[in-house]
Amino acid sequence: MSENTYSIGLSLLFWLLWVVGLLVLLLFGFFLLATVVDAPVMGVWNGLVVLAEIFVLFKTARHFVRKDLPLSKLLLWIALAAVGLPLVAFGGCLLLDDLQFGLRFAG
Amino acid sequence: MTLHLIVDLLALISGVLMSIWFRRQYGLERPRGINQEAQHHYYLLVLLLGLVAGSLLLGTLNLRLSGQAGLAKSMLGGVFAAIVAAEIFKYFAGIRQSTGLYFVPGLVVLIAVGRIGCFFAGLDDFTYGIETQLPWGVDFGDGLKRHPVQLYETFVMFAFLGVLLIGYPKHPAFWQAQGFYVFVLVYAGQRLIWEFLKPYSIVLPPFNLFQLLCLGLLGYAVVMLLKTRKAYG
Repeated sequence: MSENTYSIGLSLLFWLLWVVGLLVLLLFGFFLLATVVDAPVMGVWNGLVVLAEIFVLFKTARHFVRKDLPLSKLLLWIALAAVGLPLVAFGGCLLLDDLQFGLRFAG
Repeated sequence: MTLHLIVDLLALISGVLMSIWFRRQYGLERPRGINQEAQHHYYLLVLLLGLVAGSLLLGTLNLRLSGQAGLAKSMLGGVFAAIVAAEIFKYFAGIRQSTGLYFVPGLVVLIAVGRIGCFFAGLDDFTYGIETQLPWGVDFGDGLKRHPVQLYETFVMFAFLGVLLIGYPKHPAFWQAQGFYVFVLVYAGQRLIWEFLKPYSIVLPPFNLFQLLCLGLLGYAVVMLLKTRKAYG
C-alpha cells in the first residue's frame, strides 16, 4: 500500500462530490422502489444505476482511506458518480417534462 | 422513453469500445501533450464537468427559448462547453498541441448511435424535424410527416467515422495535429444545416440557440486549423 498525500482542499472536494453521489444513489433507490413493480424495464435500469453508484462510492471511499491511489484519479471517479452517471441515467434528451410534475422515470 | 434509454446505453458502450479499440490500435495512451498521470486525470475531470454543465444548461435554455418547461440535455451544448473547458485548462497548463483526437472516434459513435435513440423517442424528445413532403418524411405520431433530422446526423457521423478510420493509417500526423478540428468543423457544419429543419425558436435571426453555438464552433475550428496548418507543415 503506497502512501499518497492528499491536500485538505481537494480532500474536501472529494467528500463533497461523494455526498452528491450518495444523494444520487438515494434518488435512484427511490426510483427503483417506485418502478420495480409497475415498470420493470425501468426498474432494472434504476437497479443498475444503484449498483453502479454503490460500487463507485464504496471503491473510491476505500481507496481514499487507504491512500493507495492518486487523489486526481479518485476525484475523476467520484465526479463520474456524482454528475456523469446521473446524466446518462436520466436517459433521453428531455429529463423533466414539466418541473411542476417532477421527474419522468416510469418509461 | 425506454427505447431511447436502451439505445443511449448502447451508444455509450459502443462509443467506449470504439475509443478503446482506436487508442489500442494506434498506441494513443493519453491525449497528445499530456504526459503526467495527474494532469491527465484533471484534464478528463474538467472535460466531464464542462460536458455535463454545458449539456444541461444549453439544452434547457433551448427548451425554455422554445416555450417549453422542463429540463433537457444537449450533445451540442455538452461538446461546446467541453471544448471551452478543455481550452481553458490547456491554456493554464501550457499545453499547445491538439489533444482532442483521442476522443473523436468514441464521440462520433456515441453521437451517431445516440441519435437513433432520439429518432425512436419521437415527439417526446423534442429532437424531431419540421414538416416535409419528401418521401422519407416520418410520422412521429401527430399525423405530420417530418424530417428525420436525427438520422441525417447519424448518417453524416458514420460517414465521417469511415473517413477517419480509412484516413488515419495513411496520414496519422495530419489527423493527430488537426483531426479534432476537422471533426468540429464537420459536426458543427452539419448540425448548423439540420437546425434549419427543426422547430426551435429563433434567437438571432435567422439562427436558433444551437445554430449560434455551431457558428462559434465553426469559427473555433477554422482558426485552429489555420493555426495548426503551419505546425503540421
